[in-house]
Amino acid sequence: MMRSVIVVLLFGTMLLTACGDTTEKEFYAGKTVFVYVGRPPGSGADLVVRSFVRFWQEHIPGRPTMVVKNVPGGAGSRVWNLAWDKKHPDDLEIFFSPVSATAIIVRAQGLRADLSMMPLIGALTSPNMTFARTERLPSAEDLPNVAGLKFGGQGPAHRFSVLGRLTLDILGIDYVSITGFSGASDVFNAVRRKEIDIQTAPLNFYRFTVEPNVVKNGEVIPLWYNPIIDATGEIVPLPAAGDIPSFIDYYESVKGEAPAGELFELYKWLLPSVNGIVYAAFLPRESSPAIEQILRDSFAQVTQDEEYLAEEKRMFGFNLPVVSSEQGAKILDDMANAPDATRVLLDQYIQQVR
Amino acid sequence: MIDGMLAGLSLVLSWPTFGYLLLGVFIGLWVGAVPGLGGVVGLVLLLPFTFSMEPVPAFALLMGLYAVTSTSDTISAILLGIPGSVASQATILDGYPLAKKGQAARAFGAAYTVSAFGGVFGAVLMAVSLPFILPVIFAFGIPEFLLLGLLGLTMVGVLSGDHIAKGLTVALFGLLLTTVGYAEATGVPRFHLQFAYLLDGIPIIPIALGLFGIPELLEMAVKNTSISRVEMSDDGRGGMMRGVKDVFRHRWLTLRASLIGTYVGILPGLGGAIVDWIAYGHAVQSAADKSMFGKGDIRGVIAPEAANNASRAGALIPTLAFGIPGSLGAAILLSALVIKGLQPGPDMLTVNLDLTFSMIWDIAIANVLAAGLLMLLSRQIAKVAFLPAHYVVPGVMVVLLMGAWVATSSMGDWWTCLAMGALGYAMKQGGWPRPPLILALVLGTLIENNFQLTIQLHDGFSWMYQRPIVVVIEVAIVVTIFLAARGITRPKSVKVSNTDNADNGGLSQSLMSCILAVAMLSVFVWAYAAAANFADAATSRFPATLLMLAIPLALLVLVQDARASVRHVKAAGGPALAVAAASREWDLSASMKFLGYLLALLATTYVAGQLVALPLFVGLYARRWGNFSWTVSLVYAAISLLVVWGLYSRIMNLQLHPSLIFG
Repeated sequence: MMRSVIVVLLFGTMLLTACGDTTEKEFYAGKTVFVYVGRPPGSGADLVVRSFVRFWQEHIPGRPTMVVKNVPGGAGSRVWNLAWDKKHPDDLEIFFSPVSATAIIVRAQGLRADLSMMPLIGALTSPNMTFARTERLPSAEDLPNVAGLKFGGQGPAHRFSVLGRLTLDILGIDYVSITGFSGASDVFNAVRRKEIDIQTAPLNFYRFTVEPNVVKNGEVIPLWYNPIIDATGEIVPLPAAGDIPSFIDYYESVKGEAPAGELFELYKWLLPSVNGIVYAAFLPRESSPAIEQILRDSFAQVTQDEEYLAEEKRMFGFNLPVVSSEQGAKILDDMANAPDATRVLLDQYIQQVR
Repeated sequence: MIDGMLAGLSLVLSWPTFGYLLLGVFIGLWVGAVPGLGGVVGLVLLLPFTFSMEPVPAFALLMGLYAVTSTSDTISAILLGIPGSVASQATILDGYPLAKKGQAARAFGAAYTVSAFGGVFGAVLMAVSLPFILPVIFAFGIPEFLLLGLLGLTMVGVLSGDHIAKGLTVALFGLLLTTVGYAEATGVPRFHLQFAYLLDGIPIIPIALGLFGIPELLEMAVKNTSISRVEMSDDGRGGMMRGVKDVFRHRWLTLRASLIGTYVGILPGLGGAIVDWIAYGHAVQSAADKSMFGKGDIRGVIAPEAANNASRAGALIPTLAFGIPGSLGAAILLSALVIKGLQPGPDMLTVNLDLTFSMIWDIAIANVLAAGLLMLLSRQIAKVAFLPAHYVVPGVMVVLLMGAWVATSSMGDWWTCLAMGALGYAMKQGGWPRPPLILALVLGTLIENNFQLTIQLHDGFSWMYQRPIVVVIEVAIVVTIFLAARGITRPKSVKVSNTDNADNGGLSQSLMSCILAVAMLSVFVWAYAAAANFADAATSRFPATLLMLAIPLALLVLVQDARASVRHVKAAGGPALAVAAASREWDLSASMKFLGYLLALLATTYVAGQLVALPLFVGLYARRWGNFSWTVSLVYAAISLLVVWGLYSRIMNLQLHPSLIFG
């Protein structure tokens, strides 16, 4: 009798477990998932998210329809504030947008969301690099000898503005910082109009817009790329950079020594955060853990999908490095808990151009 | 070049490419005609479908849509006085008065003919201009963009009303509204009154729809008049042909406006927003007889409509050839290009020349197809102008409110729409022009960015007299204001479209204008005090500068209106009698009743969601205000439910407001 009861209980438990599993796996069947991106349609981030989402919906069990919605505003903070304010998540809304690392570190007043408290599904990162006009800078080696260069950037706290300025300051260059452009392509237009001499921008933007239009005809030269540094402090090899040197290599080639100093320490501290995670997908707080796992698994599957990788390479010229949810969560945690001295130094550095 | 052109044409005419082009045109006409949607929404909707398509048919689909939204947005501009998109603002000035005179079909005939011509002309002109267009684009730097934005605003300010100070005050008020929320330069929030909704800035769609749409619907509801104030007569095919003949009569204006559209359209970020106004301004300035502008002059339709279609081609070429998107729509097309693995730049003019020409052909053919299709439909569409108001008001209100909902899908959009409706009503009654406010909202961020960047890039004010193009634009601004002040570009008799109520009235107009001037002045003074407390100069510089101009202007308007009001009040026999007379002219009690309906609609939405509230509003309005039978009211409500659920919720994938009752 006892044995029969145990068998029945075991069978029932297995049945219930199987049913539960099936229910969770089929949760998305026939449903529409909204994916929010905090940049306007047609922007680089919008392109990254839309191309990813197209494959993602094929990998999520139940194959939901995924609809990308643009919620630009607040220098990219609006989308995160929207996610943070979700009170009763229904697991049908995903927030996939560029993370403003500097805003998180300095606890910018416009950003209410604490991303380290939200479930991270997965992330991609994107390297960036610096280039200059040859009319002001005939060759990369001439940089330390040229005065009065005009550096163009987006908002003062934008990662390209911060990294671009930091590298120029570490090199001790005499330059003027012009910030407030509304996007990388706006800065680039100013470069082409000869109003701006030097710019830091995403590597894919360089490969697709800058290189064919002004590098091939000698109007612009690449200077360096800002490397991705992993959790152990090692520079991650970046084949996509080709023969463009990393900033550290560039510094050593023109100065004959390794970079050092307070600003270089800040630069080194920032690299794992600023370059370590760029396009991150989150669920709102209090989402279902089982759904989180389904989305994490499917996100990871997309990054292994040969067809996706081929399309990504065709679009950007290289594959965007993948950040796992564990790695990403650690980076976000580090950003949220940055040492006070670093936070204050970065804040003061940003305030200098306001 | 010729080979590339012919190869491009054969690509477009091959099957299934031509089919996709047709599909794009159909969808483009639809999204252009529904207020609040427009080309960008349409492109975003179609983009995912093009991922797996070959480049030529994919671009035929997208270009078909992109090219024609500025043709069909004319429908709501002419019929309802509501700008279907930014590109159709200037068309309202004369298009809507023409509809009121029962000449909607004539306006459509002229608009579609010049739209087709402008689109084809722009495409051809751009194709032949390619070799020398780049220096033209790069001749316009940041200070030139700043000044061009100001020129656009000045033109609207002085051309769209009979009171220059009011026009400029409204433009400055619009600029102030664009400073609400996080400052682009510093990320510091400004003027948000602790509302989270305002932190991200006030979206333009609810403002435009509220400001123009609600006052017109209110007037129609209160007076139960049709859009046309005259009986339907010969305004069918005859009216439309009259519009076509008008185009031939004004062929040189059409040609000049198309030229303006093409070349202004290439200016990144700015061209599409101001091109219709520059063309309209040119039409007024170059006309020998200006007396009918603003009252229904067909030239006021021809010039902006030719220019805005021509500008589509203008914005496309720099996008393809140089990777410089001229507008948000062009930026989406650029991303479609990247998705296809195509590099914008010299390759598009060499190895991919046939594809580039196929897109130019797409634009040209789409414009002709759209004009032909709309010509066929226009006769029927124009009949809407003769329908009794109660047939039109509830349906249009649903479309208007859901159009506003597209902005951020929050109740803040509806509150903004309603508040702007009240402001628009007051402006209409007070004789204040509304178009400058919208253009200021479009250009505000751009003007502030260029203002901040100009200050950083150039020490002092030397840029104001050392750059030739800047000097030319400055002269154009001064001349525009001077000529307008002298009544040379705009005779005193010209009245703003949609402010015809103000014609009757001295007393009610001056009283309402006074109230508005006090309100604007109060807002300006409060904002100036608030701006003075911003921590850094980059946050306060722009609002403080514009407020230094706005406060004296508002004061000037107030003094003039106060004098007029005192005169009118004395003539009316005292303040009490004056207020009573003004209230009657404003139809105050009926207007309040209409406002009550809208407030009840919002309250119901909070409780039951839009799928209940909007059909309920339509049904109740039709039954109680329109005195329709229960059957008609229920059918009307059911249709509105279908539109909200099917079009906005299912096709547009908009998230509706959750219902407290139904979940």
